[in-house]
Amino acid sequence: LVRYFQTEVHLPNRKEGTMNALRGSIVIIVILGLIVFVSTTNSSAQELAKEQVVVYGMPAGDVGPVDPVGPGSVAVHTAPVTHHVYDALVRHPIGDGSSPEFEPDLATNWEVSPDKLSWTFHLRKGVKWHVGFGEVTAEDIVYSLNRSKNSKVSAWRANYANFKEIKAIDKYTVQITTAKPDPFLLSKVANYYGGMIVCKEATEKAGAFDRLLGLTKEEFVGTGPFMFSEYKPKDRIVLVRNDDYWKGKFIIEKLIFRYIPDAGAREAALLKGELADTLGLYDAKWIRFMRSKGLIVTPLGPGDLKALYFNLTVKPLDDKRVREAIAWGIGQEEAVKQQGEEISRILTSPVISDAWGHIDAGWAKYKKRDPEKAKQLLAEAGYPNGFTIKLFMSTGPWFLDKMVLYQGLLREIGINLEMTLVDDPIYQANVFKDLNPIVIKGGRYALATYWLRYFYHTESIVNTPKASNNFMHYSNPEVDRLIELAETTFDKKAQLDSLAKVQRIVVEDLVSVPVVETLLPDIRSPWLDLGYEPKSNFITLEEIGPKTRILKH
Amino acid sequence: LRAYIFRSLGRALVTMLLVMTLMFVILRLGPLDPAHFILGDYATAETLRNLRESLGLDRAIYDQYLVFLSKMVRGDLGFSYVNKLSVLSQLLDVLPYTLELVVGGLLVGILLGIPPGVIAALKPNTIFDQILQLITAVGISIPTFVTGILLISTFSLHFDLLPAIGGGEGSNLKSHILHLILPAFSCGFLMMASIARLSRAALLDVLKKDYIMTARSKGLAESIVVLKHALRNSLLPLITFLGIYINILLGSAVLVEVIFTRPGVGRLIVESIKMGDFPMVQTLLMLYAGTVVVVNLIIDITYSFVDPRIAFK
Repeated sequence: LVRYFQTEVHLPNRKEGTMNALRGSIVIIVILGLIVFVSTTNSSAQELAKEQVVVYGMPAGDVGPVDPVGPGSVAVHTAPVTHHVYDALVRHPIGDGSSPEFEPDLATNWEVSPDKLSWTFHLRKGVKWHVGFGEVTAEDIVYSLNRSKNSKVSAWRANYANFKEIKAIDKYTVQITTAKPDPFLLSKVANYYGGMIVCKEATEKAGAFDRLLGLTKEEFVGTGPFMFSEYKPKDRIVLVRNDDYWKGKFIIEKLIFRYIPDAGAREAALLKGELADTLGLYDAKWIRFMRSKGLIVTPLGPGDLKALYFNLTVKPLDDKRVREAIAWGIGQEEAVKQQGEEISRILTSPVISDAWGHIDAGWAKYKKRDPEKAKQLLAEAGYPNGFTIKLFMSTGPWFLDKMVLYQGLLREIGINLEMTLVDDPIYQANVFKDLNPIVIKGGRYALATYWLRYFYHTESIVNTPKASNNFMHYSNPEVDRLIELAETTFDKKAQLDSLAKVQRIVVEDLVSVPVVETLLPDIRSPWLDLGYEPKSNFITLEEIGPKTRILKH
Repeated sequence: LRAYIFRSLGRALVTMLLVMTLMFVILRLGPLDPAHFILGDYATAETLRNLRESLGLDRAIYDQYLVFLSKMVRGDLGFSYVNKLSVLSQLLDVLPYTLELVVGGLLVGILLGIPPGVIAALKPNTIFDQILQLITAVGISIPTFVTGILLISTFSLHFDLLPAIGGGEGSNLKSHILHLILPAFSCGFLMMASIARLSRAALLDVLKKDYIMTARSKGLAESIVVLKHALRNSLLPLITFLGIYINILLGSAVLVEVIFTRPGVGRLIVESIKMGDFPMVQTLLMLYAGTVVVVNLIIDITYSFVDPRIAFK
């Protein structure tokens, strides 16, 4: 072809003309042939596999309680399961969980009263519960949200404390009245944690208002696109397609969640084609290797924000100069180098960059480490020779790799971290018992108010009645006031202003030091065609959408 | 013999009771908090307290222990804290997988260990013997988890012959066998090496004995000398070893089950410990302890059949 087009252009004689015509025909035939070839290979690639089964490699040993009021509704070992079984009044758009917009789900539309204290939701008619529990009515919604608010085992009681009354106006209308205005109410009735709706009849029959629902067909009942079929402890959960799903049945017929805690085993199974989707390693080299094998790696948001939280009641961490020395001593770039740029973001604020209300509050100045500055600050604080600090550390790779890195970096400035390694559940238990002077912790909230409330509000101090993640014992009345204002005002400008102020104060007080923001390295086989563009979600693995399908492979 | 068995049973029961009590106390004094695992990081102190109350974890340890004992006596193993399913049903679900693995490992060890050992003993210091010594040295030095990973990368990923993970689909026998081959080899490889060495040494030792010389001088065929006189006598140390090895196999099975993501008792224990699922951990560890005790008992009794000279005093 190249030689043909390189032939000099001149007026042809008759013989040349015939030759040229012949050449032309050959070229046309070749091009047509190519087109036919490409289109047939494409069409065969687009052909569906006989079995439309998605096998997930779950990066955990077993599932947790499959109950919206349990913590599993946000945890990696359970969220991908519950997400496909339960619906909610509204839902996060598929593939974009960080979006501040919500889509109608069990509710078709809703309105807020002028005083902003009352929300009315109009329900979709004819939505059926799995396994014959009849139609979804306002009673189910009232029961379910009341359970999130009042059940003795609800991990989310604090989040629903502001719901003063939840009542059924008629069979298809629900009204939620709040004690204080709540501009973020939709996030609490969305398909995430306590917002997922359970079946009143099934739950009452099981006597499970005050206990967590079990993994049985009688108790694990939702209205979503898939329904529970089988559970083999520490091995797998199988969901089958709900053919009566109100949006119409999905292409995928079955979801199998296989529990594979060992990363090596997940990798082997993925390379062998035994898994469709799993969570990859936080390692740039590994990601490159898997891509070279034809697998698709998608960095998924919202980012996981990791930071070091200092107990301000412990010496010498009560001295801001010491904390700043640590910030300069570790530098965010070091963690980025460790896990690779593709899945890393430099933190600019104590809330994740995807969160609504996030601003650049100045954390990025600790991007590049500066050991000299760190030593100088330590000397000013009265520790020219550094100090030793003892802490428990989780053997979970998501923390340990960073802390081992920091142990080396901090030793350079004279700070000696003496870490006692414990299994992750013990580490988690210990930090909530206030046993660690420095806590490394991550989280993936897409709402700035949640971050700030859980980590920086006085009420969240560990070992107190409403304890949450305030490991620092940080108590700043101005911060509390601004968080509460942001939580209650519908005035977007005032809300953003107060959120911005809190972030600046927290960075100024430097009660926590940035580690890095990490996107999840989701990895899937090329034959899993999601049918949407994955950007972010809360279930750690890819969601199954109505157009998701398995291609022939 | 009967008195011996009764005495052994008595000792076994006391051992089990001690193990059970120790486990119970250690689990509760340890740092694991089941309520925290079940309710997660964002649970409030109040909900954690509520759950501990409903699980009975707020009571004094001796009080909890009495409840546990009385249930044990009635054969009630309780329910998992995490998934609310009966401990017994979960155990019965996975037990066949572990038995498959242990039996598979034993078969690999015995069938591939004894014959080369015997041949090497009959032809000592030949090239065959040298090669066997080398292979067994390698076999003994490589830990089970390394063997497992090497087998997966070679036979699953490189040659694509066998599945990489899992324990087989449903009741499909072919799938179960295909899923068993690599795990059984990684469990049995170490054993095969040890058995080959042991059977070689034991047989060499016996072949030097006077009665073998007598048998040979009687003009018996060499095959009868070896099979009837020498091999039977060299089995004794092997049986002791097999007893110890079944216990080691149960330990290796935990690792192999994790590496191959096979369902099984080992994985059930590991994950239950991580989750602080006390009822599961208690029962499963009891099962392990019980197996060790029973296997030792069986080995003691087997001695008498193999070598009637051993008297039970």
